[in-house]
Amino acid sequence: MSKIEADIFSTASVDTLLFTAALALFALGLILARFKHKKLCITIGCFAVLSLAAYLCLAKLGSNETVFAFNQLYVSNQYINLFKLILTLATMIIFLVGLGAGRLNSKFFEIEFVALTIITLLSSFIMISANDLIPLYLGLELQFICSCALLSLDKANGEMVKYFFSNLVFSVVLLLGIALLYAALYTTNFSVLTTTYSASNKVPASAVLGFGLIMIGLVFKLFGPPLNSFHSNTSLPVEMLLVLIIKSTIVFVLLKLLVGDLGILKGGSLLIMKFAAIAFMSIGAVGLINQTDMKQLMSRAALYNIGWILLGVASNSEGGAKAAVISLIILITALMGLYALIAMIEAAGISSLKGVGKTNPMVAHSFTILALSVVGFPPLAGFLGRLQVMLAIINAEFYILAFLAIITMIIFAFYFFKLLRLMYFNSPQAVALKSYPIEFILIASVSVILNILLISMPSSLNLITGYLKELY
Amino acid sequence: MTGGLLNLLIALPFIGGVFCLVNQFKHAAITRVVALSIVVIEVILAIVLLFQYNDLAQGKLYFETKFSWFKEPNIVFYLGADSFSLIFIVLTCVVIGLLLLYNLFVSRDRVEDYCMALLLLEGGALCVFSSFDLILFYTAYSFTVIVLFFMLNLSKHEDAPTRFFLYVGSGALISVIGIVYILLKTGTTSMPELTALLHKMKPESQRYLWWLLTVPFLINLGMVPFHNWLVRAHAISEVAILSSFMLVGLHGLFKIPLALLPKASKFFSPAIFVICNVSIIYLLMAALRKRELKAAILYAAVANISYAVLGLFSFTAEGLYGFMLQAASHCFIFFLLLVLIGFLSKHAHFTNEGYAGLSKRAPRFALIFSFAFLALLSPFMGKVLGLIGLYKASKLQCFIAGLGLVLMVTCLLPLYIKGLFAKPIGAHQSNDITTYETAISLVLIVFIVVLGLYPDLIGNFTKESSAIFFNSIKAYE
Repeated sequence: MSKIEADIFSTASVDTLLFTAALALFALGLILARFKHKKLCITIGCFAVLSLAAYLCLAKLGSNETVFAFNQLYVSNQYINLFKLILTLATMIIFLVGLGAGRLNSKFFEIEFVALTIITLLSSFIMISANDLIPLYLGLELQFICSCALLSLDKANGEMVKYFFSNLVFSVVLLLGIALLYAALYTTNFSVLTTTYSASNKVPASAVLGFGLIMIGLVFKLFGPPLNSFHSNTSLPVEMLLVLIIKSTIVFVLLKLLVGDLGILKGGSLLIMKFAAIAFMSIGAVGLINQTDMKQLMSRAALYNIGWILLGVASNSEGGAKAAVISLIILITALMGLYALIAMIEAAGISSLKGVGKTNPMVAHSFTILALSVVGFPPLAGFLGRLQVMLAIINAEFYILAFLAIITMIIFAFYFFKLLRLMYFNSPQAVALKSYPIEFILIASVSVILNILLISMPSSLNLITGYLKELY
Repeated sequence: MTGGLLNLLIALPFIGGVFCLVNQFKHAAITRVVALSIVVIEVILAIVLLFQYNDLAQGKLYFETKFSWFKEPNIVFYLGADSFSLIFIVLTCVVIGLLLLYNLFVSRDRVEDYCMALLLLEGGALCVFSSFDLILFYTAYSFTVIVLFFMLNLSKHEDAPTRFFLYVGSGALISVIGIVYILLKTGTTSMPELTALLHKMKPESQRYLWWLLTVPFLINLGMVPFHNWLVRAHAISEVAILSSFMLVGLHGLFKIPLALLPKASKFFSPAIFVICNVSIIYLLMAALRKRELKAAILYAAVANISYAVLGLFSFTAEGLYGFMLQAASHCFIFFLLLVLIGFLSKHAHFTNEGYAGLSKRAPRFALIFSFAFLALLSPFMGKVLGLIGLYKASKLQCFIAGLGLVLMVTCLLPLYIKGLFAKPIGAHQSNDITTYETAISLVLIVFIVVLGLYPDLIGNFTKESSAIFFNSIKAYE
């Protein structure tokens, strides 16, 4: 593993590509305003860009070098490229859902949505490959502004204002943390920090405090959206973007900071992680009780699962980090399928799930499989993640945390079982659609197959976790 | 001995279940025929396995299928069968077969769903009995829990399935902590290797582990602090499905805490005796207070399971023999009682105190009920052997358990007399059990009588194995 300061454009090719593509898409939108096949152009364009980005990430996955660029502000290695690949694929799925939703009510998949989503992805990339706190903060803010713009594009203005203010507060906390860290250590660069302090191990208390504030800021940003329970008015693709892309980016960054780059500063931050994990799990699980809105339900399910992931992070071990990554990947695969299924049933509230088992047995069976996977019942993929996290936390001797996790899991599972009961044992309310958009069927079936197969092929996940060596 | 036949035995119900799932609403007749034929084949296969095993040297694990499932953590996919699990396999195949017949001909409600769920339940239960890896065991166990949750839900009753899930689901999840701890400390979850490895652990850790691995099965059997879910199930008319689940719990109690942690099991056996005796006395007292016949029957039936557990934890050969006998006979008695409860809850005029005078209003029911009642009360070989084993372990506990037998009679006899011979209050409707119900009950009665008259049927099969088992765990006590 060699560390090279390389030429900017070959190192940051994916990011450059996305940046150019987003700008080009805006320009294209102006040029093609009256063009008949505008939508087709946009669709082909954005899928081409994302495929190219995925290809570039995949190509870089092979080399195990750590490459720096932009005066050590930017770093690229296997771990980062792996997550860039995952995020790119997730974005493609969001576009697919957008296309399907557009087919159903013809409102979606406008040029603004596509361009803003690509910029959100770009900001995620900036955050993941930041080798300094300043680009990390810039990426976070860019993402925040984009998601606000997407929300207002969705005509969800009230939600946008709530999102804006709640996020702003924690941005400020984060900034304060960065300032404290800088005041104590005179640098915000991860490489400089590690080389200066790893040997002596004497880190000033204010730096640890600053790092703690950064962690708190990130944790609240992770937590943010469901705190305001605003998800009911947003459209499905935007919702998926908020839950899948933004949350997983922050989890990647947390892992990178805590386990990797700034590991020397973690001190009390592990305690923050433990509290956060328990808070996420209990709020996610208890928040589900009597929840009738489908989107809120999904965001809480995501929140609950992120609690488990944070448990893995908090266990402060290689196994924990592995468990966190595996759980996150499985969560993304399961959630995207669930979102597609919700779009297929056009479920706004849980009452629209009633009797789906009779009207659409295949949809109901898929929903059952994915829900059980999200809950973590064997023999589905979700159980694999749970098992790994459990191994990590019991290895770290967090027995009380393990018990709390199990208790929340019972509550969480109970609610999902209630949903399954609605589906199979209540009489149907609405007439089933005759045909579904092919995109939804595609996503849902891929997701179901992955969730069934991953447990029988754990070696594929070992392949993924093999890329995590760069973290340590 | 290769595992081909056992694998077929386990795979067949899953294949059938998935077939029914796909075929669900289109061809009802095909679903029924497939389910019925699979269930019959299963019984035949199980008996063939039993005979094959009988020719082999006892006390060992046969029909093994073993391959690495996960490299890291080290989990093996390990199926096999010893004499104990084979008995449970045969019992489950028979019970599920009868359940399917019961549903096809008696309850006739959502038959296709039941066919599918019963096949899946059978697959899950057989997998539980023959899995010799803790993770595989847990997987199969949770699978049966999920399937049973759906089956209980088919009855449109809200309360019982919810309680079932909260209690049994929590038990299953709690055991995960224990399993993960074992995996971490010993590096394996393969049961045959674990006994020796766990013995090397600190006694304190063994004791904590023991509770984590025992509580799920105590919940499963409806022992006293956890009886709530089971005794509330009497309102469901298809309550008979629970009889197959009880076998899973009894077998789990034998295979996991007792075989894996013999030292801790011995240490905590007084606690188990207390729990069992409290269960017997408390549940019988509660039965006495019940104003509903079906609830009272269920309470008494649940109390009866405790005798099997008492024998098991006495750590004697008689106790183990008693356990196997009691498990086998009780599974049929329980089934029979559940069929009767199902009948009572199907007909609203028999609920609350409206059940009086059944000997005139439902004579066939009264006859079968009398027999079931007798079977429940009479000290069968299983109970006697269990009590003999218990006497060797603890005289006081044996005395209390014996008192429980007397209490059972004193508590249930007034109910029996009132139910059968008292004058009905107000307007009384007659409604007797159908021919099909009678037929199934008679089959069950035949099984109960055969097991009672000829206990060697099970005794011959497990005698050597139980001696070998006790020798093997004696080294660890």
